[in-house]
Amino acid sequence: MEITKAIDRISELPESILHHVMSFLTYKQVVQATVLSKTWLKAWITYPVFEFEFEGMFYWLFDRRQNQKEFLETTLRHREKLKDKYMNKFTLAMEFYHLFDDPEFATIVERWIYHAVECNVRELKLENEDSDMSWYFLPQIIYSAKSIYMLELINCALGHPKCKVKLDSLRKLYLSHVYADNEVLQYVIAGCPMIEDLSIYECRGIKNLELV
Amino acid sequence: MSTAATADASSSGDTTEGSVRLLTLQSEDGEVFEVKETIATQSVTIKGMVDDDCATSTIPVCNVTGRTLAMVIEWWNKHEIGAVSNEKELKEWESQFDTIDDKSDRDDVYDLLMAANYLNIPTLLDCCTSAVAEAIKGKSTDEMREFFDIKSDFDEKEEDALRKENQWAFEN
Repeated sequence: MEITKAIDRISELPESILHHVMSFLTYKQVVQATVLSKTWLKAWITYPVFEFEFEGMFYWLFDRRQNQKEFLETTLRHREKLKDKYMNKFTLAMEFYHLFDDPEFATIVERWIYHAVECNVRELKLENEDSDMSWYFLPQIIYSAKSIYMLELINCALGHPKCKVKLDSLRKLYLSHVYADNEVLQYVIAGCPMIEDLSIYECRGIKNLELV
Repeated sequence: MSTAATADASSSGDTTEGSVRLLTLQSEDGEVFEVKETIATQSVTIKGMVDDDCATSTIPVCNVTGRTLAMVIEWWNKHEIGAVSNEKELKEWESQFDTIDDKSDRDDVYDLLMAANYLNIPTLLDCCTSAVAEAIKGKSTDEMREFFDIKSDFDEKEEDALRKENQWAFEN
């Protein structure tokens, strides 16, 4: 009888290839793969994409919410330790009202967004899945995120920028169900010298936009 | 798979066939292949060598066996402009690489991935990484470990903790 020793060749592939494989999977599948081995866990931590979408039913239940909060925190802690900081894509889709009565949760989300900007994120998407509660205002740091190429906001609000808007690389801006004052939006757009694609869908507060 | 492109022993690279320049590639196990420069430059690595005039003698292709290199050349031939009449035909031909049915397919894909990575061939890299991803989809952790021969280096406690931290991903 022939005995062949099975070699784990997939884990010997360069990390860049594992990342390439991950790009064809849903983020949930990517996270599931972390329990395979330490190689996979490490490849996930360095994967320059973070797409967290709260999904499924009953996610308003306390333990589920706690669970998701912990997930965001642990992941961030892992990522903050990395030397090589870069990020292609950051997506966070959740019911942002959780943040209003849980300051700890709000801090975690803020730290994540700060981290993404610090990592020169190229695509950033924030989606508030609940529209009945108060508005979630875009963190100010995003206004000066020079690396962002694509910004997509759903169900959020744009507050008055406290400093000069410097979205130097922004090419695509998608706003859907966003609350923005006319003046604010005009000011934001003026800070996007490279903009090519602007989409405004069912937004509130905008009366007439003058684009030069 | 045949290795019809094997050149005779006297060849030392930089030959021409008509007006087409031929490059000589040598696999790790010593097999020699002559390939048209226009085809081989689908590899970003080789293109760089050609552009820098470094492709005049035999190009060693480290870590890639003759068997794999022959498959890579076949890939290049099919992806040469005008080689197939339409996109559909090309996709059909590619489908032999984009599914992994058993462990032997799996090993071929690993070999091709290492070659595509070393030679930097974006189309082949895309096809093979997508094939691995397809093989992952729908498998449980244990099924994945079995199929890919992955041995967990977590102890039971560590794995449980990790599952707990990432619980949302394991729920339906």
